[in-house]
Amino acid sequence: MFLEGLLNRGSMPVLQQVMAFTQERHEVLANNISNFDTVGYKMQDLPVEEFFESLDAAIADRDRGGASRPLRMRSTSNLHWDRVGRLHAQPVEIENNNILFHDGNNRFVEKQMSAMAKNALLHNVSAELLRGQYEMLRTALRERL
Amino acid sequence: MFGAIDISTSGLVAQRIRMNTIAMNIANADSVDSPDGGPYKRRSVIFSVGSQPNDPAEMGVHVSSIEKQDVYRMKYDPKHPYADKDGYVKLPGIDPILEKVNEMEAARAYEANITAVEVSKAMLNSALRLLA
Repeated sequence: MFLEGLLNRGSMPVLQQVMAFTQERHEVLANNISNFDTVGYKMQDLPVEEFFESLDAAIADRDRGGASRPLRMRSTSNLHWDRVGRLHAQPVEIENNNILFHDGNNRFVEKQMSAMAKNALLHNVSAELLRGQYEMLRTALRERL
Repeated sequence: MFGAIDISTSGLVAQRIRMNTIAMNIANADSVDSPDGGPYKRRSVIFSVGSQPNDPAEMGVHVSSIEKQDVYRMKYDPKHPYADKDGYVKLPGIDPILEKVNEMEAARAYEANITAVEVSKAMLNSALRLLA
């Protein structure tokens, strides 16, 4: 379809994937913060490296097949994309995060808070870039500035 | 995304319950009698994973129980109506410094959860701005 071709090319699907991932990761990070004082809780995270490797591979794969090919994310051990391209992520416990406290919790408050801030920044930048793309499309469709 | 706010809210609720418990401990630091009989027993909150008991997703935190601890301190006061035959009064074993430290920890954890909610709101805002 024409419209689908417009919306599924260039950086748009890439930005959509980044937004989906950062939203998913934000929940995991918020969960860590709510469990800062829970006995025996281990900090969790989503595999960021794994996601970006998968994204890189998907972009390279798409570029080989011509610009009209959709972006196909390949699932990894902890990140799974279903048939409609929705992300299902399995959080992993972080080993060696920090010294283990006497209550069996391995919180690292500063690291968790900065991870959350960085993740939110990445999300907001992606959203802003995506908005710019939509604005450009809107301008083109209106045929006037 | 809305899930993140619920998760942080469960953290806020849990820390507030902890703060209430600490306030109760400090208020009753000198209570020699209680409905259970004997002096007031120090309360301690137990946190557990999951925003409610048996939460399948295990996201968030909840207070699974508030334990009563059998800790007491003896104070020499022979004229006191509750004094034993040696002249000692049994008082709750509450250490104000320990309670204060716990209170600060709860306040900081509460603030951390507030920060998480603020970040969630900012993210939601930027995502929803795509619509308009």
